[in-house]
Amino acid sequence: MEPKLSTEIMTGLKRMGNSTLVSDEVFVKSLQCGMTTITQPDFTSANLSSISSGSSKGDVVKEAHCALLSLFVESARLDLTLDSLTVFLETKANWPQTRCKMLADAYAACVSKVQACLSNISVHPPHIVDVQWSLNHNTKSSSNKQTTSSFVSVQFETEGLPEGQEDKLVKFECTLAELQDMVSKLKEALRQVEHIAHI
Amino acid sequence: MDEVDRIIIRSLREIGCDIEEGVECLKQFSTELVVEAAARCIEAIQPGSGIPTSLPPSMSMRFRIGAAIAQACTDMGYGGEVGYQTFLYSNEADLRRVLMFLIERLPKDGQTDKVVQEPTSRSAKIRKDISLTITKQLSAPWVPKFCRVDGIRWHEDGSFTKEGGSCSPFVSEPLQTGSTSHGCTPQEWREYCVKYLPFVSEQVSAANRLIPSLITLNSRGILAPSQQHPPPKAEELRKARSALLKAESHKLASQSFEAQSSYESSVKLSSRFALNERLQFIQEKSPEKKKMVIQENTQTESASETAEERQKRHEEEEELAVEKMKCENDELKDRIEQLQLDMKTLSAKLPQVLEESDIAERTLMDAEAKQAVRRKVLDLLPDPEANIAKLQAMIEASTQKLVKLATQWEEHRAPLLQQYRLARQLNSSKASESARTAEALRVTREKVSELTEEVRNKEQLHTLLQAEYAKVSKDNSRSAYTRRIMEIIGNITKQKDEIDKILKDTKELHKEINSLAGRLDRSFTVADEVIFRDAKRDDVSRRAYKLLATLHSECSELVKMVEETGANVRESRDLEDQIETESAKKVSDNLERISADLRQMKQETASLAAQLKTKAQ
Repeated sequence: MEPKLSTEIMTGLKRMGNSTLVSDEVFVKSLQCGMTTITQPDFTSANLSSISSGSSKGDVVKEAHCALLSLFVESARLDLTLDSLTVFLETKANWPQTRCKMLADAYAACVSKVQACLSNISVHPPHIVDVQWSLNHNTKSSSNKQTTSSFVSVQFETEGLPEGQEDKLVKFECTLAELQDMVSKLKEALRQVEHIAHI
Repeated sequence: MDEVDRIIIRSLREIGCDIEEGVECLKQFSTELVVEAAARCIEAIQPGSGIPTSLPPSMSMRFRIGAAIAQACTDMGYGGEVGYQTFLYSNEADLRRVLMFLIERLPKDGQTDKVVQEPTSRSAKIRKDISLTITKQLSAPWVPKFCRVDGIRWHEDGSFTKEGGSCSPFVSEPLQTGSTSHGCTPQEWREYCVKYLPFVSEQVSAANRLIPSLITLNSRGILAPSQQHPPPKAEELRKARSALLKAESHKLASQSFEAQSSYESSVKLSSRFALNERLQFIQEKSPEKKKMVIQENTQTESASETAEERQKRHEEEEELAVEKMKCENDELKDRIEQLQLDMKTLSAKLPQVLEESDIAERTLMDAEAKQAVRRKVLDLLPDPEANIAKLQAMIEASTQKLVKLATQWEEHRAPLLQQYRLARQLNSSKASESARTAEALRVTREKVSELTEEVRNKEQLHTLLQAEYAKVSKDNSRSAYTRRIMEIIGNITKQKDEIDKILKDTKELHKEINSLAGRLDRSFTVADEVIFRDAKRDDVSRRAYKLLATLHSECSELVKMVEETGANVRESRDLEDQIETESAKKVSDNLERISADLRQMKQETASLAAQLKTKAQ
């Protein structure tokens, strides 16, 4: 398996592997900056300008930086192994072995963090972290209808709502039968999950 | 027992034992086959046990293997008696028990399928990963929210799982990578890229939009290379550049003004920042000043003026001071605006002025060159003929020199040209060769990747087919087993009915016997009493009484003997059974084999001792 990259990014990668365009020093710097940029959400641009200042070819460095970040992201998306990444760089981007090894080391160090960042880009349903419930009995009411009814108040505490929304409480009331139905459904779901876990 | 043997043999064949077609019961198993079957079963239950499936010729090694198999069985929890003799000198019943125990512990269908499916397709791998992740999540303890940054829980092995936490939607922004081939001239574009284009990570407005933007950039590049977003026009570039220039000049100006203001506070103030500072300073200072003035006033005029007048004057003074400051403030503001305007116009003019100065310098240089030529011409004017002759002589000399140089050039050029042509030819041939090699390499690589793909597909197919085959054969055997079990259950029910019937008969017979015995006892007692009563008076009766007594005792003896005979018959039957079981153990055969093995071992020991001796000598 190998990552699918656009011709624009492939050009950037090829230039990054070319030691006449990108010197070893600049390569190491841009690799480190690439790793920091892609793994730390609160990156600073100070390091970035230091890469291009060390090279007369600022445009190539910027292009290579973009290509490197794209490679990291695409490889992490496909969960590429180090071997396949090295083979890809050697054959498709014509990188020398030393640079391939350096990039593979950097990739190994940051792949899980990139995947963690990738997993944060999605829309998950809220995560239930706590529950409070109470069984209430309606003993008397002003209406003439049935007065001795019992119901359950359930309050789920959730987290993981989209940005800008506070974690909130999900409250609802149901009869005992409905609660039993829900609990049995939850148990069924749990069994299903356990079944998947033991395939 | 035949049925059990058949099931055992079928199961052994499934795990890969090479059992010949003719073998139908455990009695026909050779020692080698027994060891192979046991070793394969143990290997299937505990992969990596390392027990060899074939017996070596050396007797000591054979015993060791037998002992290892027995030990493995004991470790697995086999309760019965087991030792090396169970496998090397097997008797049918023990062997059946051991093999049944091992076959019961063989991995079941689901587990074997899992093993088969492990190295297969990508979907299987994903399924396995999912199950592993869920297992990990289920087995991990609960942790509070603050232990999971963004809902990510890191495990010890470096993997992570997403459990709640906030997440951001996929929002991407257009990125400018800096690759060439755009609307403006390459120089302009390069200059823009080098100086003004920010890094892609700086182009996004929020950090969490970087990864989506990169993914979108790449996907767009792959899917529609021709429909990429239009490159910035030269005009836009210029605009961006001028904006940046402006910003830079502002920055520089403010920096310089700041420096100035801090350096000389008495000089006119020029920047907003410095003005603000000064205003604050004045505001802070003014109350103190006022206080001082008031104090002075109070000290000098306290005697003459009343308190009210003093208050009025004080207010007036304050108002005056405020108005003055306001005026000063307005003036300063105007001045700032004026200066900013000047600065803008000047910064706009700056590139134009620079350009103009460049042009002026160039024209100046041209004029200087022209002037030098003219001066030389003027120097030559006084003696025209001589100078003309001199010039002609110089021209001739220079033409001759030129001709000489041209011939020399030609001389050198011809061989060099030839050399160059040769080199070019060589180079082109080399280039073509390298291109051919590269082409061949590419073709080979493509072939290799194709073949790898094919092999992977075939392997996948193979494993799939194997799994299917295993399932199919197992299904068959399962139905066959079920049928056989149902038959056996039917037979057993029939047998049970028969046994019940026999038991009922036996009970009835017992009852009859008991009632007959009771009747006999009672008739005997009655006869005994009647005859005994008559025996006192009559001789015949006395004889009859004696005969009755002897008859009774002899009959009871007879009955006892019949009972003893029955017991003996039962005992003999038991003994026969025992003989049969003992003979089934093949003790004599095993004894013979053991004695033969012992002899062999003795021989081996003797040969080893001899070898030891020879080595010692």
